[in-house]
Amino acid sequence: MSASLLANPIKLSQPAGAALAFMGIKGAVPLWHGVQGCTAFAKILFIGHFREPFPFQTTALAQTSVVMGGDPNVIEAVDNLASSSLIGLLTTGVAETSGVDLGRLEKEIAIRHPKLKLAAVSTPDFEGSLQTGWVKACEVMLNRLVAPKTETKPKQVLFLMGPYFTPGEVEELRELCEFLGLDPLFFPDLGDSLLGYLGEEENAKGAIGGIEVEQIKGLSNSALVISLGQSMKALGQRFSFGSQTNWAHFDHLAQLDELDSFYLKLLELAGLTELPKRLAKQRAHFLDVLLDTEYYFYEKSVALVGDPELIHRWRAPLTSMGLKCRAYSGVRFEEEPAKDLKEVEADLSINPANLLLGNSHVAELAEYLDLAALRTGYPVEDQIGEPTQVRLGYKGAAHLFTQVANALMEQLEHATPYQSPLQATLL
Amino acid sequence: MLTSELREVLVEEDCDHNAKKQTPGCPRPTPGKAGGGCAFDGAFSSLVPITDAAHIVHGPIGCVGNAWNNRGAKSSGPLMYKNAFATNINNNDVVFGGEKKLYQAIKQIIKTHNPPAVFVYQTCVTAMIGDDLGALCKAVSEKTGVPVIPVESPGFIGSKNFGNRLSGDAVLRQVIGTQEPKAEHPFNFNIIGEFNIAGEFWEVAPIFDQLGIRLICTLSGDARYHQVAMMHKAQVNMMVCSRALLNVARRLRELYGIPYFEGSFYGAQNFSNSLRQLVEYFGDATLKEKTEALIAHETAKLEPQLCALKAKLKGKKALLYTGGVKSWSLVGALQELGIEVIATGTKKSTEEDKARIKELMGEEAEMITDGSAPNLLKLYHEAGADLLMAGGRNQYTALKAKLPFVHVNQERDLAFAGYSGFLRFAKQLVFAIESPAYAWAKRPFGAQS
Repeated sequence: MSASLLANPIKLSQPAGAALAFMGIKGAVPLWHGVQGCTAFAKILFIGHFREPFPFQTTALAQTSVVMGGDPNVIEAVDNLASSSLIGLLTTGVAETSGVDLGRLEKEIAIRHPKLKLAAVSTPDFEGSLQTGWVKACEVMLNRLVAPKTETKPKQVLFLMGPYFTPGEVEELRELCEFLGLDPLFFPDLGDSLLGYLGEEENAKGAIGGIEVEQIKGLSNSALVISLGQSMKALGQRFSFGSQTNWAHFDHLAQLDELDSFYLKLLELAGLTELPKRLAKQRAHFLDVLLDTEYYFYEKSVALVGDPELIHRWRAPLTSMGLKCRAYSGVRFEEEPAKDLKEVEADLSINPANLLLGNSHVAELAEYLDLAALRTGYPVEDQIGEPTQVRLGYKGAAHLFTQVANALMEQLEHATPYQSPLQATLL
Repeated sequence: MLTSELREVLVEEDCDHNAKKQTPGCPRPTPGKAGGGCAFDGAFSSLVPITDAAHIVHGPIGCVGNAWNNRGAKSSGPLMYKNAFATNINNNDVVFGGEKKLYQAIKQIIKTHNPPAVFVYQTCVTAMIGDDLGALCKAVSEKTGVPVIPVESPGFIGSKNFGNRLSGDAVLRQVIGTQEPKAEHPFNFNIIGEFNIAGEFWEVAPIFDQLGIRLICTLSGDARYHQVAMMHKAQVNMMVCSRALLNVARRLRELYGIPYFEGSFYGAQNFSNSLRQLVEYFGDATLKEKTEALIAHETAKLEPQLCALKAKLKGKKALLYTGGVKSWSLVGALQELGIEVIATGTKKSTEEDKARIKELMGEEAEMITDGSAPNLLKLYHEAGADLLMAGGRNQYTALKAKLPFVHVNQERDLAFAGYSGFLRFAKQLVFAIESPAYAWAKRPFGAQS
């Protein structure tokens, strides 16, 4: 993109990431400090992706409040939402431009509502992207809500989840840990809130599921902390050392070496010395899938489009199978300036790729360029079920490579038909 | 078919297998140790690539329902051949006979699709209940004016190879010689035993046009019915898949005096030599010059591209086990790339093929007749091979043993023929050998990075 023009964006806004993180806390209400539209656009984006209601609230800044200060709007909104388990207050560009002082607001709210849990995070949309907003919200919550360590619960494992892991993946990890006799906690827990459940409650005020505020208090008592996703690495390190807990970090859980060391960590915590049969079978199947799919990867190149964490999730596993990967991010990434989709399109005409990997907008570009597409990231609204996709763990990694192979299979090289002019003289 | 006619096809006199043996004909499959196709399979797959004809299987669903459209024979035009027509005979038909049903079915095909010809395939059950395919086809043909050709190759009659030849026999008796070309041309030839797998013949076909040689018919890849009917007008036949359809080449020599030779599209040297052999038959000096110029041009174009690939393949060892694709021609192609072929399958090779293999690989050449998975794996490991090349049936055997594998048979989806095909072939070998998947697959749980 030029200095002045962005044409077809790749990135999503920072407040959207913060709001999504708050959705992983049970009963939490993400309160957007901004104009109604800020909230509405993100709400439509996530509803289209998750096919779930989103209880986003807004301070509904108007002309006067933008000029005179929006604090009264925040106070009024918090008064109205005070029964929530947690209010996740996040700022937008308009609130920050009008000069909001979050610290002062927090103090005032604490006096008005002494029992209310509030996490306030500054996420102007003129900075960062979805993943930075997510990480900031997580950091604020950990700082505010976690109590000091009192004991080490030997079976408790905490997963600090990055924004580009699906609810389905959270549930997969939960099942895995429970199968091994461990007590997993996910922070944030989109698996419990956004996978899509039909229950008794007809109109929940906040997130219908997720980790409970009470549970967050005890996170420091975990025996093992696993940070998942590149954006959560720094937070994982800081948090685990603060609570003197074992820590491991993984970017993707979709490549054999990383997977093996992940399972070893869990086995160790579970007091097991070898993979239980069910998992050994999953591993053996994953290896089989690598050989069933490798043929389709010969000389193929993949363009990864999205936030840095999303790129990290896919790039190493795909590269490990010989696929040539290149990345386009909407923010500055590995010495490369931020890009937009128009630039991706222009670049692809010079350096063609076989497969485009990214959200629905990227898939649309792939269709336009007659390339294969594989949908990942936000939003995926032209297909149902992205939130339930599992592309980690032995089983999920097998699925990942199957999906890539299937997408590439549609682009197999075919011989060009030839009709002989001499042979045509027969008739 | 009469028993005497059947015997003639069974005991193919040009097939050297018959020279030395007391019981002539193709070897019988061993119960419990057989992995190949049946005669029906062979007949059906040999003729189905005639793209504008309709092909109907007279039998129960197992014969065609399980395996239709599973081969990579491509068409540059008509798609009639892709339809899997069948009579789908049932219990009642077995008791009362299926002829009426077949008669109606053929008439319906002709009425709905108007093909230039219909091929009708006999199967085990319909042969056993005594349906008279020959008489019936004749009757429909007379009534409709459309050629209806019976192919009598029920599965029980023998192996897939035998079925190939039975289909050739059907074509010889009832199709070849029934039509004449509209325009004359000085140089005419046929290719026999080429099936345009993955469209690979299209890599080669333009070269014949460049040389001004008219291809009358490819039996049967991307063929049209009228081309098959005019095959008798060729001056020479080139056989490319050794035993399949050998009887067609021999009979064309006997009936029309058309000589044949065995050539190959695999490997640049093999292909160049085959082109030289082909033009030799026309005895035209200008044509020969033109051919040499073309070979020189194509080889010069190919060589720099092959160079880097050859460097990566030099000294690698391959185990070759093929069914239809000629074992010797692939040996030559592999050797041209600097690959050592440690053993090759010869289940479908003639004595002449074997002699050529010995010429290429030396007297000690290991020839594999037992293509069972354990035997292939044993040979592979004993020789310390780097690569297994075989057909789809062996693909997953190789993968289970974590061996790099290149698919070379009829279900594959890449074209390997001619000069550009040879380059693609070399690339596939490099990709397979360099694929990181095999190292991952061998990694034990808990190994350190």
